[in-house]
Amino acid sequence: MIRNRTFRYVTLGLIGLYVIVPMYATVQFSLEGGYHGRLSFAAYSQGLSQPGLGSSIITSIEVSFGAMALTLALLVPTIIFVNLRLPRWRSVLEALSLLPLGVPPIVIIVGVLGVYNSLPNWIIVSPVILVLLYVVLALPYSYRAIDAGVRSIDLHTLVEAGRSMGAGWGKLFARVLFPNLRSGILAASFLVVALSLGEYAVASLLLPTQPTFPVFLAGVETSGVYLSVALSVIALAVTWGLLAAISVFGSGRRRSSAAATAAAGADGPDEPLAETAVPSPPAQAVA
Amino acid sequence: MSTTEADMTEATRAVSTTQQVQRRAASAGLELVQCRRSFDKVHALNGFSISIAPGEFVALLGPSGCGKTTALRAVAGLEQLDEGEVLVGGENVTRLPAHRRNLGMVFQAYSLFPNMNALDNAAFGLEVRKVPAAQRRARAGELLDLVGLTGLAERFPHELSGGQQQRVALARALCAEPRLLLLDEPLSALDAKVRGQLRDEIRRIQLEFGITTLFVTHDQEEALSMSDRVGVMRTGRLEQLGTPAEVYSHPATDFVAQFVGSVSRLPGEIVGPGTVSVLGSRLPVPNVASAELPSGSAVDVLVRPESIRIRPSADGPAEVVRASFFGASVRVVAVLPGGVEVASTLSAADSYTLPAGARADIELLDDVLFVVGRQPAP
Repeated sequence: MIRNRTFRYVTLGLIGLYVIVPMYATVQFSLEGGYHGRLSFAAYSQGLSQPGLGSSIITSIEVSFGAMALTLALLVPTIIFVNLRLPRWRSVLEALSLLPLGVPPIVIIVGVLGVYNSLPNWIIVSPVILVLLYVVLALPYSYRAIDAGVRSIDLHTLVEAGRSMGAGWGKLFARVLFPNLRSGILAASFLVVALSLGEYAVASLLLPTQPTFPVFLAGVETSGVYLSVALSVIALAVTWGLLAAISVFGSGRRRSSAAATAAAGADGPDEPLAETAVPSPPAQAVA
Repeated sequence: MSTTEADMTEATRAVSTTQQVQRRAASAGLELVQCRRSFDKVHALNGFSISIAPGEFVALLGPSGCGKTTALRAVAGLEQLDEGEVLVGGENVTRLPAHRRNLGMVFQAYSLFPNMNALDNAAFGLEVRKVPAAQRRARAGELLDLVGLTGLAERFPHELSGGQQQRVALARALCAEPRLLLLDEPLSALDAKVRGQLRDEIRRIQLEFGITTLFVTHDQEEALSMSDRVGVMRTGRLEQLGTPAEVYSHPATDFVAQFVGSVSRLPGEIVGPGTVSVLGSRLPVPNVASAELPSGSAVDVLVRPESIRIRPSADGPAEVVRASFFGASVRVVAVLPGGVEVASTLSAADSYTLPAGARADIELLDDVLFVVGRQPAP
């Protein structure tokens, strides 16, 4: 028992060091931009005053949340439908979802440009085009996260029970399926948001006129090494903040609904079965 | 009469007849007309028809793959028929989606919503129907009390045992006052003791509500003990529909005779109009078709174990081969010359004189169950 616990702490400590040491070094380096070896926030002040920083962060957030929303809107009903009605197509869908992993982003860009050229101009010259592409790029991860969630519940029985109780599809999604798929949906959301916030190649080629944060960051790298590292730290903080917000939104809503249900006469969603297991956000959110 | 039967009778009497009549009036009858449903080349339903009166409890009994679950799912709207009609209370609901049929269903698998506690699960049907929260919670609480889950309303499914989960499922199915109650082998995942308790509970509640109920099971004991009528199915068709006593004592086909209860298959011969000779006795042929067989026809005679007596006899023609102990009774199997096996149900005390290897006499105590013409060997 004690040996087991020691092993657990040692493993946890090693993983912690693996993640924390590089970040500590980055932060330390970014603070050394002062004079005569003194630590200072000069690089941060300089970074925050850079023109275009705010708009690039806003663009990144818009794109990442747009990609997340579109991914969930497309994948959740599709995966549920395939599992319910077309289980033989699951393997086909799974193989298709892996395709973006096998094709380099630059090839995808060249390929999709031909297709996207037929789209209205307002899509091609706006962040919407990035949203469309990020949904595809994140597919291998988001598909698996949602599919694992769907397979962890007895989908057929829950759907049939809900339908036999008189629930239409809307009610069924809202009250039965989404609450029980929350962990998979949250995991998929994290992955899409993290990937979208950190992606550089596609954004720089498809939307050079409205840079996302990674594109903006690459642009200021030439202005000074301390400045670019300080901006990377800011980006990391923003990414973590957003992922934490998603997590809090998910679990916070759950807690408040549980409290509402506990009160007599409450008319809201109910307390979930168990805490949602959500993977840690990827550390390499920003290039 | 066993304790369980006594409890059951008492519970049944406790329900006011007036109440039953009133509730039965609100319950709907069910009719399935010439239903067909195929999966690839398998005919799950092959011209299946049945008619169930309001307030009646009918069990569909049959071997795996006979189409009983398909029939139930077709009533629920979870399975679309290729042909045929489903009428609930005279209304044709064949093309109506499941969520518009106003039926309650309890599934074989535990089907409670894991994100809701017992109370919210039970109240779900009313929530869907937009009943005010206070009202639906009060109603769901009443139903949980009725199924014996007082004090467990706040528990989540993973905090309940299998039997408790099925009780919540029953409360949920009844809460929105459905027109029909559909039970898809709800007891099959439970252990024997809980199954027995819940069986009685379901019947008591069904009588109290007077709700028309279609119950699918492969367990003949459940079907015979709970139902007003039992429908025996085979290859997508109804072989016989009758009271449990009719189905057991007057089977319409040799399949029903052999599937419901157990039988010994003895060689016999038609010896006169409607008369069969078996084990030296001359007895009437119970089923019309075989009664018309000409004299001298070789037949198989199906006999229930309780209609046969096996007695120890040093120079008897049979030899006891095994005895299976069932508590109050013992099933003794003897073999006749020619290898024909005969089974008899005896009291435990009687069986002590019939150990394996003992010689025995076989005697028929009662009429035969069914006579079927023997096909000549190819």
